[in-house]
Amino acid sequence: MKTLVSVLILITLISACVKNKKTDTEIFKMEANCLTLKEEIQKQFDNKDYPVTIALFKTVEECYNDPIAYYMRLGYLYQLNNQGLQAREYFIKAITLIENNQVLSDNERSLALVTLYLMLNKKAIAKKEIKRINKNALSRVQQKELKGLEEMANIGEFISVSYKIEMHLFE
Amino acid sequence: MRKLIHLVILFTSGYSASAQSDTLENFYIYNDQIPIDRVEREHIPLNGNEVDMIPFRVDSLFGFVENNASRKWLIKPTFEQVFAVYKEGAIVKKEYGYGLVNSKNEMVIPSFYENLIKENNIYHGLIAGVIDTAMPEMYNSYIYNQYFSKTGEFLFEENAHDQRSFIGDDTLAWFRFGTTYHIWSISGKLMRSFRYNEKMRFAGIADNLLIYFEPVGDSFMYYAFNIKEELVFKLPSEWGWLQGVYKLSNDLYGLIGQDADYFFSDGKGNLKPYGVYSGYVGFFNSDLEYFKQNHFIVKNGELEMLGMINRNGETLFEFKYKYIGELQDGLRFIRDKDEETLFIDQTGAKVIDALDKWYIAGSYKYLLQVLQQPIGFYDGLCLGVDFVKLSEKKSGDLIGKHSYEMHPDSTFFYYFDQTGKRQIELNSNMKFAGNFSEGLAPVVNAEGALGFINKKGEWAIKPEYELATAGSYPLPYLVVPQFIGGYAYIKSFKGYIDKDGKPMFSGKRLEDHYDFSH
Repeated sequence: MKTLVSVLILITLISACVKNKKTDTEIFKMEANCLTLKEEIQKQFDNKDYPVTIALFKTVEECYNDPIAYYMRLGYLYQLNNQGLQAREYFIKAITLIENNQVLSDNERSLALVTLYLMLNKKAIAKKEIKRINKNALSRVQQKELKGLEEMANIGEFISVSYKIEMHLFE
Repeated sequence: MRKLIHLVILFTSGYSASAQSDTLENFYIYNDQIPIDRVEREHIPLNGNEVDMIPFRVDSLFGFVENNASRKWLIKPTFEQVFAVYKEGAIVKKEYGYGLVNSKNEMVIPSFYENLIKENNIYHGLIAGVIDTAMPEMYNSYIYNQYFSKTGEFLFEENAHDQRSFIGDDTLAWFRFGTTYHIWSISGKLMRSFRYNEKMRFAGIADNLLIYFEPVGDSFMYYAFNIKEELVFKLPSEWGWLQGVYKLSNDLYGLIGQDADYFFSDGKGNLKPYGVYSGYVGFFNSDLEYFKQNHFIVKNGELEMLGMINRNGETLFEFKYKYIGELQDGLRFIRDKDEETLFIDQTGAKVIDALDKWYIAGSYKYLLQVLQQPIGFYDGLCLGVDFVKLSEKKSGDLIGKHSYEMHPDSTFFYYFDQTGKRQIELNSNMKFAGNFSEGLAPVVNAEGALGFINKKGEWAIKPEYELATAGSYPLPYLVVPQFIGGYAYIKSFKGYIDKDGKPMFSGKRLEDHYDFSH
């Protein structure tokens, strides 16, 4: 019986996350459920159980306000799970969204693109994108981020850097 | 707390299955990169020295005439399209699709394929298939392949969601339907059949070897087996997305990446500092024949300069060039770090030194981007673009040590020989010029009409045709006609002309049926 109840709770949690149109109450419930799911995902991630993390993470797309960040992280999870082709698919989805994004500032766009190009081991393009960044307009955090990205882009054009980039799943 | 743990376990078990089925569904999406519906692609120009039949268009239909001066009808016009002509016959389109017709008007391969391609001396027909399954509609499509010999003998057929047919001189091809892989030989024999294995994934075929890879910690081990399942080599790599791994020599390996990127490594998987980057993501497919070359023009990522290596990894040309062209008529066009341009032979010796410094300024982009052929000598003459110089610039040095003000609209084409001497200079109102072949070069006059000039710079075939474009955004290109075995294909007229300018077409073209004047 307990098992059945748990399954029902589970189904409710997930269906709340995948429905499209929601009332305010449903949104409130979804946010609460998202928080629960995020906790579980983070635990699985910390345990390095990437297949389970990926499966759970795929249910929280609507919990993310930012689809770019979502695709970047899903791609990152696939990469950690040694599924390079799937990782690439989501990184390219994120790149497409970034390129068509009208909200990001030029520097934000470039920083995100550089990160993704490096994840795809495209250092030549990453270097070109770094040159577009207006360094005077970067915040301190962004400056630090850029410095790390520059170091990776300069490692040697044909040497792999993919696994040296780390992301936090939720922040 | 115990409840929470229970919940987590349920999550885990429930979603492990979900993760697998998600991956499984991916196996049922057909690879839309395969040219199944790109049948309206460019006609492959024939070689007049090798074929018996020449397409002849009358109005909108094609027939074939004899490849001799008589031009007698072999087949009266009945075909909607002629895609290519070979010794054994022509790939033609009739009502239902593409097939192969011989000079006796026999359909050697029936005309019902959405695409028919000649590959490694056999014919490959493709049709888009649909299976009604319980799965969502997007998973019901697949590719139906049939293979035939040159004489039309049926070899084998295969359904696939993804595949790599016979590449270059490979005699093995793979096909995957769902999670099942089949390996076929070019003679039509099923050589292997196996299921997808997550722990030992199949990457493809390279040099007739079956390439598999398995995750090992954070990186991967690639294995190359021959068809007898004997291990030929293994290679560690950090990447789990390589499309092919080639053993080039004892301690040099070639790795085919995505997006037309190519890498080199030693036997321990240490990457070499050189390789090739297309500079794009999700835009170009890699050329699976790349590592079948004997030499590789590669960029050193640290020096940011190009050089050339052979299959042993020995440096043929040092990494000090900004551009190294492909071999053309025994010579290679290069541009060094000082922007000097010269032609060198296969040993690297200078043959034509210090070309006119203006050659690079005017010609480089035009020749590479517009003509899309290697810069070099065709029929002994090399094309250049020049312009009238007005005065020397002191600043704003755009192109090396020298810079000039140029006269607007003064660009003109010229041809020079291997001594560097200009043999032909065209009037500056000529809009376009191409390379010579069989003594004739295509030129477009001031009115936009295409004709051919001879090596005296005179019109040999008067300008009455048009240039045409092909491809689509973002990479459209000009289809520049050239003579091969006495015939040149004029795309805009959908037919051939011979070297006397005699057209192999008559009547109206599609655009002739419409009046665009209003």
